[in-house]
Amino acid sequence: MIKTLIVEDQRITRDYIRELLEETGRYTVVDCLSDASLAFPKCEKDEIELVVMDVYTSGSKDGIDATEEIKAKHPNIKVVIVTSMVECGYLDRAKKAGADSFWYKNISKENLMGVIDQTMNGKSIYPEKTPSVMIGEASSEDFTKTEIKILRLIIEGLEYDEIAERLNCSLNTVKTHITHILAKTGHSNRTRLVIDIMNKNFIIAKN
Amino acid sequence: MSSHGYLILPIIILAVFVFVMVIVHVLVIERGRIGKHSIREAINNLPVAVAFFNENGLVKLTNNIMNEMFREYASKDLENYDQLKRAIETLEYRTLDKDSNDRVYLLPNGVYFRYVENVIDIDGRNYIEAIFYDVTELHNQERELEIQSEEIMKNRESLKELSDNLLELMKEKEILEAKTNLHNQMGSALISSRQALVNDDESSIDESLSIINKVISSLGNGEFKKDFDVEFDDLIHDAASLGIAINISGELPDVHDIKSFIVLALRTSLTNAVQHGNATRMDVTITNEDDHYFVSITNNGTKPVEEVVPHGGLKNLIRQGDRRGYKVKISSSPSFLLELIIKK
Repeated sequence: MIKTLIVEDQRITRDYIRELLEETGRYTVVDCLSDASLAFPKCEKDEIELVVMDVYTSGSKDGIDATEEIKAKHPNIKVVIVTSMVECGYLDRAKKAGADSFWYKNISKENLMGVIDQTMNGKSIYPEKTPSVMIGEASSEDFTKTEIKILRLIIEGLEYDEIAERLNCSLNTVKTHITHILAKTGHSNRTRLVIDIMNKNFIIAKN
Repeated sequence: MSSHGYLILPIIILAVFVFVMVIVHVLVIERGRIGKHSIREAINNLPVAVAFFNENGLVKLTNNIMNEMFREYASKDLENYDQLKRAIETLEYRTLDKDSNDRVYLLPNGVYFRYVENVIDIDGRNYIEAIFYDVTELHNQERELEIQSEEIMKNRESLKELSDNLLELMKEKEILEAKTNLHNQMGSALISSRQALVNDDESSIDESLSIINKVISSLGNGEFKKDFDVEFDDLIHDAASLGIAINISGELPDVHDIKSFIVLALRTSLTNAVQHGNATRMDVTITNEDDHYFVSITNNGTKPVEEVVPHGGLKNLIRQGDRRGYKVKISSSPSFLLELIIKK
């Protein structure tokens, strides 16, 4: 039986995943945690072979950072990230953190059990890309990498001159990018743009 | 005040000093060729208020700006150093930085002056040089910058609050989706069980009953209670998972927002106790005072070697506390202690 830890703060989702795993007869759920910050200490304390990890949980550390911590010390523990957030940076971050697989709740075509079984068999299952969302009149896929970088820094509360310094470019360059983004989305101002992006969870500010 | 403004002062002081030295040496070398009126005319052209006092504190030389300024403020002519010092002592001022004695004074007419005093030696005699230079424009620019910085900080806080609220909304949406799924399952099960009963199909009846039982079970366990009780239960369970017992002395307040904040503080402390302290127990004391709740949280883990610098969870806790007007105090010695003062 594969010893599994579930990290998920929503009880109903936790119970659903527990039931899914235990019904197969191949997995035993060692424990459930509602806070990703505690996942690594748990893996240090108990023998865990698989972690089903939500990204946004109670506590200050997100599931991807917790995954990086676990994989650094316990590379043999398999980690499957599950999330409903379509944050554009999650897929890349999860890959860099060493997560074995990634599954979108309510969006992924594969079912969760299929992804988990394939992961335990040594495969790495990742969606091809982050699901797109509409930001105003534009699809999230229409943004360039630089535009996404700038949007993330705006969400984090930086002013234009700070963004220019961070990206090592001129203030005018930043302003030009913002103008293009507003034109693409059809939003009349930055505030509406930011609210739309955050509402769609396209970019989530880290604590 | 911008750094450029501070560069002007040394330059002006140097210029005044050089000017005075040149004048004095020229007088010595060419006595009689340059008269007192020439010196006065030159010193009146300086863009600062300046006065020189001899060793007895008597005025030797002032310029028009100094004379006008002193007359406007003190309603008399400047005659000696003590008068100037007494007048300065009555003025509002602020220190430029804690390591220097440089001050910016505000005159009643709304003008800001920076005051600098030097003792200069001329031919073996000491003179006190007192210079005021007008920094009103610099001060106003600095104030504007401070206001803009405050606005930026407020915007950042609003953005963080918006971000937190939207993430909470996302969680609520997840629960709503789960509820809707269960509702749909229940609906399908009821329809299929009705048909199975009509058609006397035992296996279908069993399956429908199984689904109905699961739905009722989910509802009955309080799965949808996203409130303090669930958060608190999860916290206790997480602590137990890591081998930590949480002992609470006192009653938890009945107000949801306050309870949530306390749970956040407990969770932050739990994370720290596990990650840094190797604790097995957390002790929580809640006291209900007249106008506030006092909460203290300690653990039996390793004592911090250095002062705890808030980052991550502790920083977030402080930010959330600031937003609500609650006080968060962190002590590192003799052991880790987190204290909350929560206004009712």
